[in-house]
Amino acid sequence: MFLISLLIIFSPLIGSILLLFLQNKSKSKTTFIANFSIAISAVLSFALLIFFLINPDVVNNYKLYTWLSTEQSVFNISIIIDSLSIFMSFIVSTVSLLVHVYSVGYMNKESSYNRFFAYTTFFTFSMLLIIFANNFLQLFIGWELVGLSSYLLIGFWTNKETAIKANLKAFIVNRIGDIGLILGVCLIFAHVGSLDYKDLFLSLPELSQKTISIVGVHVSLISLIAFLLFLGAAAKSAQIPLQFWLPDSMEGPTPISALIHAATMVTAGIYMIARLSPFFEQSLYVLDIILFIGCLTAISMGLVALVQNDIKRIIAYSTISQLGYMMAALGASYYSLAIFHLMTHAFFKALLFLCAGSIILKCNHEQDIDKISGLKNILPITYSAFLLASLSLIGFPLTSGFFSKDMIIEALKYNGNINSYYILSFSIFITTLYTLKILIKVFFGEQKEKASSELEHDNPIIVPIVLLVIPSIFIGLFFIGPIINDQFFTTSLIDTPKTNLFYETIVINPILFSVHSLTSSSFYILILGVLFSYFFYFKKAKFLILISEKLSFTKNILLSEYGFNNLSNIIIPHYFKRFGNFVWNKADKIIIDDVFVNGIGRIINRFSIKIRSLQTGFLYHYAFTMIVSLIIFLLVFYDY
Amino acid sequence: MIINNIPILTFLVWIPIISGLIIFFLDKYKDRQLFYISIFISSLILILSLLLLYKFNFSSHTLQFIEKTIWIKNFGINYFLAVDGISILFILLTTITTFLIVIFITTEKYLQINKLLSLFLILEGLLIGVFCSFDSILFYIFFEAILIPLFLIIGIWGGNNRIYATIKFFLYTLFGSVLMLVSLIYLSIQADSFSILDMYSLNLSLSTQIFLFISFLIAFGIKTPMWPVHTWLPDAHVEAPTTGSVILAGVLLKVGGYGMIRFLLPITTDAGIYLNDYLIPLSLIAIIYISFVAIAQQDMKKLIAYSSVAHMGFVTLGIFLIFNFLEKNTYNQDAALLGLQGAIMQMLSHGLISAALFLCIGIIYSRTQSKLIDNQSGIIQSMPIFSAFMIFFLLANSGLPGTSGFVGEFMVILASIKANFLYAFLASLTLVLAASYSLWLGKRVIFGNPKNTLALSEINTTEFMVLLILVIMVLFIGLKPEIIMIIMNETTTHIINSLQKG
Repeated sequence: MFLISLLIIFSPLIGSILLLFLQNKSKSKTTFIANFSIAISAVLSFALLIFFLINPDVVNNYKLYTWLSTEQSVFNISIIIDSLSIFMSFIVSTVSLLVHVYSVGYMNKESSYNRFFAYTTFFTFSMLLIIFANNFLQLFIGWELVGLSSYLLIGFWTNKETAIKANLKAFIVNRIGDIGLILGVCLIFAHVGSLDYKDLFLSLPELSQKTISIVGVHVSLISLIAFLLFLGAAAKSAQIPLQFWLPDSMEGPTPISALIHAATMVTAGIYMIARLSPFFEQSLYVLDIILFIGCLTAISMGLVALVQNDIKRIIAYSTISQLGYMMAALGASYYSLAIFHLMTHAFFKALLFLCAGSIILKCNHEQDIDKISGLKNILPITYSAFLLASLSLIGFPLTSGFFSKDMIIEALKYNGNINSYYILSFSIFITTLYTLKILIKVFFGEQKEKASSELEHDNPIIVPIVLLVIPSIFIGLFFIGPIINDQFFTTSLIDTPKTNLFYETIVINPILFSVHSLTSSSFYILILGVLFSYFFYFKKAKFLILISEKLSFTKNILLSEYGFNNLSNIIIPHYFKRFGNFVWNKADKIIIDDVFVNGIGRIINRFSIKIRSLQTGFLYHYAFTMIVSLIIFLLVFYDY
Repeated sequence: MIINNIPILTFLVWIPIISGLIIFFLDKYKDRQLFYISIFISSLILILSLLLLYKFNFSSHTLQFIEKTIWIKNFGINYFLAVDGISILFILLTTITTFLIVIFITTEKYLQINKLLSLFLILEGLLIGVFCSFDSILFYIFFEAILIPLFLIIGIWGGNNRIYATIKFFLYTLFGSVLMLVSLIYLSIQADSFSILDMYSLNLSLSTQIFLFISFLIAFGIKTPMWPVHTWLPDAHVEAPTTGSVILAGVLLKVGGYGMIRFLLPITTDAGIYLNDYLIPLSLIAIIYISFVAIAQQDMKKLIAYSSVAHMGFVTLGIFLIFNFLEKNTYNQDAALLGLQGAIMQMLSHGLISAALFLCIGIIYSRTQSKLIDNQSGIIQSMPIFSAFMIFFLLANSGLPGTSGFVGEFMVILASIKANFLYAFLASLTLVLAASYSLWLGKRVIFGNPKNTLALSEINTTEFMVLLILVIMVLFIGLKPEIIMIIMNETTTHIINSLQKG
């Protein structure tokens, strides 16, 4: 199993290194190396997943090598293989494989075809590094490396001004979260003496007694660490107030948006909190914060999605909103549900992005949905796939998204988090609106281009889309039992009893849950949303349009992303530069250099000019001075 | 074996100096011949230093390869060379950097190339001398003598404003070292010996220690450089030729940190503990304030120079934290060790990364004849391979894990959080600040559309190899810092253990 997991992790890295050295060689070679290296990971992960579905209790830790050893502790690079890591690696490598195949078609005309795949395979490796980490050091390394890959890939088109702005922004915002992460990690090291998850969990009883004083205020150590780690997770998983980098990251190539900014990297934060569930469980304050932030993000970013026109940005805001659902589930201690939604979301959101890519390609890189219409007959396969993915996203009964999302909502109700329950239920309405907005505007209406008998795209683009439909629709139904009820995550997450209870009282079985949901409020909200969007976007009912025009003030707030756009693009960089200029010009140049350094020089200069006038060169001046000094000396030192 | 009997340290110090002096007068030789000679000498020294590493006993903290003979009998001054686990790392850094510089010079055009090459070789010998002298006067002589070749390198081959820069640089550092000389003489009278080791066992009163501490701090603080005595560095860098900047940032700044570890830490421990509350803020100011100054820079070299000051802030932070952990109520030996090791790690890593970045800027300068950021844009369109290198080093400069830039910072932050959460928080701001100035530089210089249509020529094989060697070393330390740890662990542990007296 050690060998298999090594292959899973390192085969993408080897692929990436090979691609790096194969600069400008044939495209077919690049295609083969990239896809083959990811395929190894995907196939092996799938095999291990099946193994774990049968024996979910296996936990293996393997050490690869010693990164650094100090007197006090040893930092190892090592891997953990348990149900959670294999489950995640299955999601990541599968989505990655499909996106790689898709990219073969999508990036076909790019001159830097090779570079693109070198980056994506490297990204897959770094993501797997996070997933298989059993200690914080490796987590942090992987964490930064996915940030790096994201940086390189958003800025893949190096001459596109918006893209190179967006990648800088993404990297720096993620770095803000990393401050939290590294401080949390260092605190853990300072108080546990080790960075292994295992040691942290073992010393929890001890830690919970400790407090730490920051500038005179005593805070509980566990809460502080949990909060700092959450800060890291919030930046990576684009939660308020660190969410504003994700929409801009859509400047990168579309396959990247599907892989990194929808399915995998942005879920790293969710994964980390779930992985550390025994730890987070100790700090109810922080869990409440997570729940609050999750709900807030889910609804507020959904609202922003409503006013966007760029198809990719709408889906990006939708991603943030869905990540909010996962955070809310984590905050309510339903870790398995969060991971479950993570999985279904990874598949249907990747599918949505791939469909968006297909649309964008067909429309000559036009992304404004107001300018695209009537593609239903031109892109029939994309249309059906997009429709099914949308159903999953809005949570239509029996689809994957339905099981994962509705279970989170029901679990919150069951858990007694009524406010969160209402907020997330209402979010379904918004989700439905923006999803159907794309669907209606893009695929219906006046057909601008002629339908041709040709295939809509080449196979590399169509096949992944078709393949992704399967998990988008069915994987929820298949996994709901094993994951939620069958103690699949017993060894890695600590919410098994809780979810089991929830499952047995509310869900009972998938079919009954679907039937039950027909009477639940979320279903009515969904229907309401569908009807509303039908009249608003399809029929263009006059009174609704009138209302929306009255709301232009709200629209402006939403368009500016509650001011975050301005803050992140103009205000903060401006004050950074201003402060930098201020300290440089005022403190460095004037005070230190001019006053002290050159000032001392000037004083010495002036002083020496004065002294120089003493050196008159006349003998009688010197004689006079000597005599005067002699008299003074005699007067002073004379022994009276 | 013959190797066991040769005075390897003497060779390491004097071969480059003597051969440098000879090359200085070889005016009539062709450039190509001079290159071969100097590459031969610098590679010989590199091999010798690797041999030193090979013969070095990692499991001992005592001095090795000791060469001790009487030099000035009347004063009891000895010619005393030796290495321990710390100096050997810096000797290697020196030999590698000089080797790369000598190779790199062959790609650039300079007048009187023999003089430049000879000065670099002399500088190499002097630097090795600093790192392996254990007699205080010998140390002082090497320490001071370094100024001469560097003064000439900047003063002769530098930019337009080179005279101001050299005078500033020279007076600044001389001011510090004069104070140090007085302290050294005082110490030697107390210890009745000029050997640094004998000074360690002195029992000095707190007030004496404070005076000594301050004079050492000024001497080494200027060299490091620490805030607020850093302003000579940006000027010197801007005016220095590329290779001059490389040796300055790569090795010369480390003399300051090395000196602190050799003198400040063991001799004036009590004073350090006493003054500790004022020292750590100085380092934190260097990290944060200087990073902001770096963001504001218009000149690429100045930006990297300021980033050097910010990075050296971690070195001094790591060293000053040791004093904090030696205090009675916060005593923590492991954390002190972590601080020391982190500081050394950071010095080595910064030596490689800043050297590489100055080389990158030199490469850009040789093609566009400008160091101003605003004059560059879209270099990646015509120089993709070079751009990959530069982006790599910029990321390493911002402390990306997997590169050496991360290791030292991580260790120092780990140590600082044990002292005070606030220290760690302020130090960790570098994650954002360093990323801001490094990658913003990358965005403006490397990415985007080229301003002038003139295609820049891609780096040649020599430049490629030099940068590649640096990439390999940066990655190597980043992926397996344990290697460095094995070399220095015994020595650093011994230093911290022997500090317990205070």
